[in-house]
Amino acid sequence: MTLQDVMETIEGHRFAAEVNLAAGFEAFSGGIQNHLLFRDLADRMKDQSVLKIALRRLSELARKPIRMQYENPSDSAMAAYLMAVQRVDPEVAAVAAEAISKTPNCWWASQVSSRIAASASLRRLGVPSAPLARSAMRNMVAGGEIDRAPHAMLKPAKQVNGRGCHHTRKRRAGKRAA
Amino acid sequence: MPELLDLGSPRDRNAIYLATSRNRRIPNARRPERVPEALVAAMQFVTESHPSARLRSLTGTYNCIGMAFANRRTCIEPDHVRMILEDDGHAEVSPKHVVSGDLLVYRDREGAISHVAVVISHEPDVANGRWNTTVISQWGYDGEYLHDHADVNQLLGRPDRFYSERKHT
Repeated sequence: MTLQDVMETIEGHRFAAEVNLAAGFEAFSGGIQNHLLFRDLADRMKDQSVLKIALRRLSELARKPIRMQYENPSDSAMAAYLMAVQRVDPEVAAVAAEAISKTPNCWWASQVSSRIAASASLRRLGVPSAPLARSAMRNMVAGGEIDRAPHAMLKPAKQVNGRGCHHTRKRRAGKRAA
Repeated sequence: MPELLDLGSPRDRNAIYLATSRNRRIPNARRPERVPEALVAAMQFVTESHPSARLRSLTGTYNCIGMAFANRRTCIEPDHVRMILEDDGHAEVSPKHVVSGDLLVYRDREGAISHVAVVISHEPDVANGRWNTTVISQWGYDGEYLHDHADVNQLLGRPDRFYSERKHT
């Protein structure tokens, strides 16, 4: 497939149909990142010239006129492009996310944008990894540095093998000792 | 001070007031309707890949959880299902006690809740030693289908446990 074929397919209704089967953001994000077309595009975008083509296309899609009674028909494609840019160049992705966040009637693309913006804010504060980012985000909210964190970042830590996270295990061990 | 969008928060203009029986707020957001061409493509994709799925309604404004808990009015992230089940008094039901109207919760590979369906029929298949369960659910944002409980797209996860809020005197 040529780059043009890949991008046209990502912008097609069929691709949107496949990834819109996700009930929530985590599944959507996983569905996109495991999609062969997305992987192909993200690989090609390691080449700066392809990255520029994708950014130009993202900009065109964001400015494309839409029927306001409907969701933006490029929503899933813009979300996929943003995620691919984030994978190869998070700084550039933060700029693109800022622009996409103003695009009307988006669903997934606006959620991807807000997550990219959040992770860019955390990077500026020197917080590198996702778990750390989550706890730093909580502290930022508590300290009044930001109004509110994206919902996904405030999710409770996942339990591991039904035993709870290391905090839970420590607490339980403390209770047993007492 | 950066302001970050929290989809479904009380500040979200697309959210509706929605709470559990214990009056805990359920974060939600109404999604704009998808263009008709996209919905038709979605229906074709679902019915081609899952022949047991029969379309009930073709809209993308709510998800499976909004269908089950908010009368098809809005979208609710799967992370909130546990709170809703607890607050609304849903208890796990063994397969032999399931009746129409009970809920079936699906989980992904990591064990997180990924989908919710409402049981339409639940009959023993004696010859094959299993239950024939038909459910109704919104497939992501791609329309509402009647389908065999195990016949779903991988993004929706796998059927896990039945729950019911039924009361007995």
